[in-house]
Amino acid sequence: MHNYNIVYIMMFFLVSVALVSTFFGVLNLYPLQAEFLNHSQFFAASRGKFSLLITNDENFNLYDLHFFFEDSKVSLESLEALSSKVIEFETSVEHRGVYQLDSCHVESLFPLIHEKKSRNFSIDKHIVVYPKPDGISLMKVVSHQRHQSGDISDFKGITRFEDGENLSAIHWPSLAKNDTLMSKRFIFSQTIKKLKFNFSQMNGNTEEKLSQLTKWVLEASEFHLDFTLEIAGETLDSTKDDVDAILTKLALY
Amino acid sequence: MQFLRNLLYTRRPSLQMLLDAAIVLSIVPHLFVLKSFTIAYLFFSLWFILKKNKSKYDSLVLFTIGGLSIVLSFFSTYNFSDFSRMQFFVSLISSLLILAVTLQRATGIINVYLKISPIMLLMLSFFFFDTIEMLFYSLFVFFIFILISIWLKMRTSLIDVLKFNFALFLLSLPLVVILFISFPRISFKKADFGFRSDRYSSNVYSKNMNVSDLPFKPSSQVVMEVFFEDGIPDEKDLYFRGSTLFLSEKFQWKENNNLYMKEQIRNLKGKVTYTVVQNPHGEKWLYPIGLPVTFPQKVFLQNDHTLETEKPIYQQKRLKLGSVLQYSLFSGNPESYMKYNAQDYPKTFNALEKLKDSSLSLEEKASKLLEFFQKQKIAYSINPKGLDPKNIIDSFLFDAKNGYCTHFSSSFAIAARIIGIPSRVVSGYKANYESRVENYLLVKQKDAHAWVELYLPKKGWVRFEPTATHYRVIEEANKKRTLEESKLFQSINNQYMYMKYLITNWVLGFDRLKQMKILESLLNDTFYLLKFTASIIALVLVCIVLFQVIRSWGAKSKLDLAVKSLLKILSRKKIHKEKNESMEKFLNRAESKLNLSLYKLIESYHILKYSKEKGNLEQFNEEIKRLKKQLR
Repeated sequence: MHNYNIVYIMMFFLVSVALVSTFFGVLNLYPLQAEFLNHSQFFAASRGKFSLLITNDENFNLYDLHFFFEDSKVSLESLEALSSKVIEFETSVEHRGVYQLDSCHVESLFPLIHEKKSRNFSIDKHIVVYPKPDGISLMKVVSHQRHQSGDISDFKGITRFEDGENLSAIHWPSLAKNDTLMSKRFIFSQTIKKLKFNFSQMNGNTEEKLSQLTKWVLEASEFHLDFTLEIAGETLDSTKDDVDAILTKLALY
Repeated sequence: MQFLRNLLYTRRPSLQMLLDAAIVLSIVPHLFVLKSFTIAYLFFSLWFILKKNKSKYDSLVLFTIGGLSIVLSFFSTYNFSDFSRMQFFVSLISSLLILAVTLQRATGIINVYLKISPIMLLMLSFFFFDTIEMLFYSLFVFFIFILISIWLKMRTSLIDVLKFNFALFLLSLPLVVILFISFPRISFKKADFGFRSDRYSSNVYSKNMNVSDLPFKPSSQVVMEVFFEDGIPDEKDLYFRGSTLFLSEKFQWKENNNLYMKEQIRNLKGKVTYTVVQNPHGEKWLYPIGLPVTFPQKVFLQNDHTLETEKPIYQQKRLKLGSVLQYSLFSGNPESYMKYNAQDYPKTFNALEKLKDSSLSLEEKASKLLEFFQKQKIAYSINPKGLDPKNIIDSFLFDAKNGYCTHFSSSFAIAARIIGIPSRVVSGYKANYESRVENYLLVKQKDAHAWVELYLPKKGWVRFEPTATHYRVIEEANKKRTLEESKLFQSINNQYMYMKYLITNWVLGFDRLKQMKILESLLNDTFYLLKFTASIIALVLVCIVLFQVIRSWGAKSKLDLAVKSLLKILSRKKIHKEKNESMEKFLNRAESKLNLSLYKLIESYHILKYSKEKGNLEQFNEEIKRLKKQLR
């Protein structure tokens, strides 16, 4: 090269642009805010989802954002100025109990790929992980009590929705078509008045019993069967207690 | 304009397209050095890449033709004994790299080698050129490379990426300046293995001067650039000496170095120090102002007080010289400058016989001779008419009465000899302030000039300017005034050349010596230190201000532009959007205030802004136009 100065200048520009791009890279992550939004039901040894609201507080766009939580990754090509987007992570928890969502982090290669910029977000949220629903189906248990009226999932028809009824009983097609709130009715639910689950009278170890009870609670809730659950000297009633409260009791046993 | 607007709002093109753009940009400097066969192959490969019907033999065909073109390119010019030559080596690598790039590109697969090829090509082109143009082109290409890298990440419109890239470069600039000044330089002598220019422009100047009836063709080609350290001398002193000529034949003036050997220099005054940037002319000679007294190594002072380099000048040369503007030159053999043949110029001889025989002193005779020239009413013309090629001097003075500096000086020198004054012609350049910017002066081909020196006993050789005795200037008939001749163009050109000189001097010519000089000044001169610090702070502040301007400059999208015009229309009705007010709230407020239905406007805005379906911007613009009409 005749003149080193052209090479020097190019080299200096390269170094300077790389340094300044670090500043822009940091600026690209700085205005990000992450807020825990909601989560699905988490069961032991299966995958659950939780959502974060990602907000850009500044009046410039942010680019090339990759959010990581444990082994899952969500990417956003860009986040416009003064706007928010919801991102959803899926993760699995091995054991029942309280699961601590500590933090997630965001990475970006913006503006130049020579350096990866990252930032941690504190979530600090407890999620109750219910026991893994496992065991014999509720339908099989009560099959010996089967009536001529039919199987557990046999559909009888719809009636007008009444106050206090479980929301899962809503018949959505009716609401969509006629704009009236109707409730689903099953033959089985009318023949069995109330189920009784007793933790201490069940066979198996604690985890097996909790798994079995979780499965029954979920099925009973699905088919609108009222039940009571006796556990740790306490009686929980589905007509009084929320299903999630009952599952939480099982999770934290 | 529409094309430009569409281009600016282009969303990110494909990686292949961006890479193609980078490769094309980095190949451009190579086109100036590649051999014609390789260039032909390059265009052929372009057609090959663009053609739609691909065949499995494409790569083979391309490889064969490419290989053949390289062999033909280099076989015709070089033999293998030249293999050590840098030019051959770099050109060959450049050609091979281009072959590899075209072959890979033809496959349609983007691999890592193709991705880094633009950088490789750009780096190779640094071997070819060391000019300011190359510096700016390299920076431009580097800017585009960074823009492409960012665009791959930003996935937005070109204008947003451009804005961002400008901001990035602006903020980098102070850092580049600091690094450029402070980064330790290699103290070794600069490597000189670069390409020697195959093309140098030979100028109109020659060591011999023929007196003929041929026209003089002035051009604006720059012969040299001169930078005076302590101010530019008076315009009357801007004589750059080329050669001192002795009449050897009837119509030819030639050098005779033996004649000048006994000259003595006395009364040296008015020293000037200056830097000359001599453009290549394939000759050894230089043109110092006045009388040269200081000059670098490998430059030699000639007997006729001119300078010559060791080797012919094929590359631009930068030299620091010192000259004196006032001096006395005494010759030991002035009678050698008296030769002439009266029969060759009978009319002139007869006309000056009285003056020759008069009892006037030589100085008085010289003044009378100037008066004689003035009385002849000779016009200055670069395209002389009516000159008799067999007797140029007589016909110039008495019949045709028009000509240029060659005719004036030749005639004056001969006339001086006739009346008994030793004379000689000096050729070189006479610059003027028209080509000056502060201490910087451009010397152009059109400044080529010839003047006369007469030997006066007490004064020695004294410069005379017979061309100044011209009666009038004859403009060429039907001559169209070119752009180059306009004052504005000249002024812009001077400024451009001056800027180029400064950048070349301080940027391309920055070396360890200059660096040490700055460092020494910083350590010893508090005022210099303050000035330096203030300059850096000012640069940083300017960059930050420009950075802010760029960030807030222009709208982000076509929708934003439309919204901007809508806000303008409503602001005329004193309905202003508040800082944190959403567009929906604002438009609803405007609707109730104006008592107009803006439903369609609000609806189309929301579709454009939030819907996943592609909104109709034209419809939104139509609604804005409708509102504008209603408000009238």
